[in-house]
Amino acid sequence: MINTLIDICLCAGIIMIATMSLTSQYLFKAIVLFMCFGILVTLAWVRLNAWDIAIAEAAIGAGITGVLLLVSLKPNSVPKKQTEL
Amino acid sequence: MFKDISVNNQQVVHRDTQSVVIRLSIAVLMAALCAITIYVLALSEPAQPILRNLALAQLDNTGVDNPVTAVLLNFRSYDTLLEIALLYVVVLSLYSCLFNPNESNLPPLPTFESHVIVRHFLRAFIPLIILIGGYLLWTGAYEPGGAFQAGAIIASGFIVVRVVGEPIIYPPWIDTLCIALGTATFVAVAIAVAFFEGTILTYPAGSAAGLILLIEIAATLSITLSLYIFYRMLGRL
Repeated sequence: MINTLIDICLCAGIIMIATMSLTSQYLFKAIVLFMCFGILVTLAWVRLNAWDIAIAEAAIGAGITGVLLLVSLKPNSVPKKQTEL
Repeated sequence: MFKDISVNNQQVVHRDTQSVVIRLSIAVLMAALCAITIYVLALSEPAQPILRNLALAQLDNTGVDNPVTAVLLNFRSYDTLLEIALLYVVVLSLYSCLFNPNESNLPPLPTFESHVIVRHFLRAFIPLIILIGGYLLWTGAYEPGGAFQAGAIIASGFIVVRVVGEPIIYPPWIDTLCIALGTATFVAVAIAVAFFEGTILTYPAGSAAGLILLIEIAATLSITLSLYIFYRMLGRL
């Protein structure tokens, strides 16, 4: 019962965070939400007993991809309204 | 670049508001597709684990105890070879696009001083990260772990050092060597075993564990440096 509840919350959270990240008006906010999405997907892989993918997702999906997106966002002359939160 | 994109976005949004009907119909179609998929999945019988049983029956001959590693580096090692080659091609193209021969090949020095506490924390933290990476690499033969995970974690350690503003200084040939090392080792092993067994990537009996470990070590180095180079090159944009 409690496991089903966790799964439902996880699925709803993943879809919600993904929608928020895709529809976010500000690129910085979208990237941070994308990293949160990576963490939730990691938990989903753990729930599916796929520990290999969970480790890779936590390190690459939530960590390095977020850093790469942030570092490629930073130096560009982005219009100011897009960098403010 | 982003100015163009934002301008285009506004135009796209403007056009889309005029065609609410199309968007609504797409939403309805997607919802119906999702509902049908869930319905079919809920009704269908669970798949017969034929392949899983076959793989698990052969696990003793693969040289590793972890089924995932056995599939990645023994049963389906051709796929993994192509994955590592893909990473190699991506790093090569990024390197050739953004590498500037007029600049020093070393990473640019940080523009600010890091705090003394951060520096001393990193001094204890980075060896630990490398140790965890090595542990994941070694334990990949028995439990969840492996080259990709180990490489990603060591690379994130490197990136942490760069983010707090400390330089990482090493001779430039290490870049060139380590980028190619993973693919080169994998291809070399694939061709070498072909002389003994007749087909590529069919490990001779008894030597599978050593060969897999060799490939994984080379792949870890390659993945670590590739991800770190992604970060460095994108930071230069």
